[in-house]
Amino acid sequence: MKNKFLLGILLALAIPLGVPLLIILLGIILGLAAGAFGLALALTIGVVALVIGILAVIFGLWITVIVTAFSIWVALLAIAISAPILAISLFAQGAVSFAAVLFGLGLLLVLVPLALEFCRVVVRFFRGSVHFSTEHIDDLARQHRARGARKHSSKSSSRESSATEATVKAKKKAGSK
Amino acid sequence: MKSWVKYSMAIGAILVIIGLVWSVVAGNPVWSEFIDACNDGGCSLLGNRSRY
Repeated sequence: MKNKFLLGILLALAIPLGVPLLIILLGIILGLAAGAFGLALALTIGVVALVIGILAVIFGLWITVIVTAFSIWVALLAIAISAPILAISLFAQGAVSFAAVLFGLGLLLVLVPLALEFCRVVVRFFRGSVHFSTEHIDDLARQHRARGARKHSSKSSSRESSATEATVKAKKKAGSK
Repeated sequence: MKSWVKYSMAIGAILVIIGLVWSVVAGNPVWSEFIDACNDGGCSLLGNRSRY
């Protein structure tokens, strides 16, 4: 339990530590300039948070899940705000087509309500009207463990049976001699 | 989920799809447009670097 807690905190720390490093890498790869920084930041936070969130759900680290969910929410809002601003400013410079503006506005219309909805669910959760159950994940983990144990036992039994067959053959050989 | 949230998300999703399809059909996908524009300095807060 204590190890899990420590692992959760380490994973949660991996977001602020890993994000700047990944932004630098992304900046080098894509050659992004200062104006695209918001978008790059949001995308990077989103991707890192998603990966850490999946790991946290697999290992059942609920502190990390909460931190990750918050990071994803921040990333969603940042993408929703920075994408259309960037698209419109680039369109005004004649650098991108109108399709990019439509794409940016579409992102704004999808992501802002999504972020607000997420916020509403969190508020309801803290008020106590929504409960997240971990029973389903616990069940899956139990089934996985049981399946692993069954496989292990079947392997060992097959090993035993082959060993007994070998001794029977050896005895037969000895008898024929 | 409130109805305005649903409508907004539906309209947004349609716009995203139209933008993506349009840009791909035109032969210059949205992501490469953004990357090219930023490489030319169009994303810079200080303006287009290629002008100077």
